[in-house]
Amino acid sequence: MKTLLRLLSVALLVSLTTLAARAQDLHAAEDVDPSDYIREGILRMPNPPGPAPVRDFSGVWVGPNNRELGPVPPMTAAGQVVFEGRHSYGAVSRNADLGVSNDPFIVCDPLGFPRNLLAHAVSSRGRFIFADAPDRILIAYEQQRIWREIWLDGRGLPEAVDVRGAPESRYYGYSVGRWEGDHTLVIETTGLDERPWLDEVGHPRSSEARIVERYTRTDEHNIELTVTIDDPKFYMEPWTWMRANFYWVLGQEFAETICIPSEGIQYRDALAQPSGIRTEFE
Amino acid sequence: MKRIWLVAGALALAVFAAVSAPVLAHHSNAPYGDDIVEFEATITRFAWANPHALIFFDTTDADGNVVNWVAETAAPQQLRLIGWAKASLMPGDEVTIRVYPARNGEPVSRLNRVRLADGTELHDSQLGGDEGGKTRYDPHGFRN
Repeated sequence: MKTLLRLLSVALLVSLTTLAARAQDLHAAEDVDPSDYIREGILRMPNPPGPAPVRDFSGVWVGPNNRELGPVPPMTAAGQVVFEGRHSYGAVSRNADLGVSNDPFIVCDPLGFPRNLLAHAVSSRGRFIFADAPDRILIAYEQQRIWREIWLDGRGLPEAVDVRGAPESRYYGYSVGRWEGDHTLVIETTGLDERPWLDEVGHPRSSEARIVERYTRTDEHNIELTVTIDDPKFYMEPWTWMRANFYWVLGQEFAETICIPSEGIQYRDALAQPSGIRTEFE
Repeated sequence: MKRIWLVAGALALAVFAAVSAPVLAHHSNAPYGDDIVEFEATITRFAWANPHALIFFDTTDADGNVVNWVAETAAPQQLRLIGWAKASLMPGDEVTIRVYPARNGEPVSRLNRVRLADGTELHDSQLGGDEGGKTRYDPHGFRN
């Protein structure tokens, strides 16, 4: 029995080492089997997923970008005013008559929450890590090296920000979390700075918004996420903004990707302007 | 070899035409035309940068003048997933590069794909197509 276990351990080690080597050099091989991937560049775990551990999301995850975005509800008059002042890069590059784009990300302004979640962790398939810390969970995103604190100590959230006696608004807000059962983590976020866009189109989200992320670890390798937004200042009703899923990262490593302002300027000067796209930041 | 490229190009264009509406996303590619132009080129700089990586390269026009071109491709985090690295292109590299030039006639473009002297081929995430159909690429999440 011991010999069998030892043999199995060696076999497991060898297969893991082989997979790790392939993970590092996966693009050198031209005969890559697509079934090794859940999505291009995202390796499938070699073992079938075991059950989800209890109240534990710790580890590095990646979004394969098969997210769904819910229809945005009608905006309030205040929301409409903000939205009309925003000119997305995509709209302007399709139609020069729209003038100049003022998407803050052109000059690498922080995306803020939850656009960072959508654009970086989901759509661009950037990895992120759930990590435990005293009284809280940290979520760190490899893109822009952004991190959030999710307090689990029972504290409340600010009901208002930027008024006398209240805390200041933040690009990534204030977040608290709670477990529902053994496999679902519910995170509520408020206190958002109003400057960041909700999405690439330029929808607004206000300092009164309450954003709820519900992460369910369905098994060892998979997390499902639903994000709902209630923002009575800018929208007529709450809605399910996004559903997405995340997959366990083989090797558990991070990369580094930073939008560097000087490189944003380089892109604007060398590419965007000569090709006829105008931006507000000139 | 050229013929293979032409056939591949025709196929790529056909596929591109069929799927371009949903694929064109984020930095919409409206500034660029739909025609692919192929150059024998020398890499002068590769900016592994956001929001999109930039390939600077020199070509020689019909009159023998050197033209300084630039091609944008996807962001590094997207390129890593399809085989690129910061050192994929180095100054002085002689390459065959296929791009969609800007409609306004300036020497700026969107990459289709680039072939290095050793035969290695690297493609753009949006317009180069994801070989093997393993992704439906949509860099920032909006097929609009």
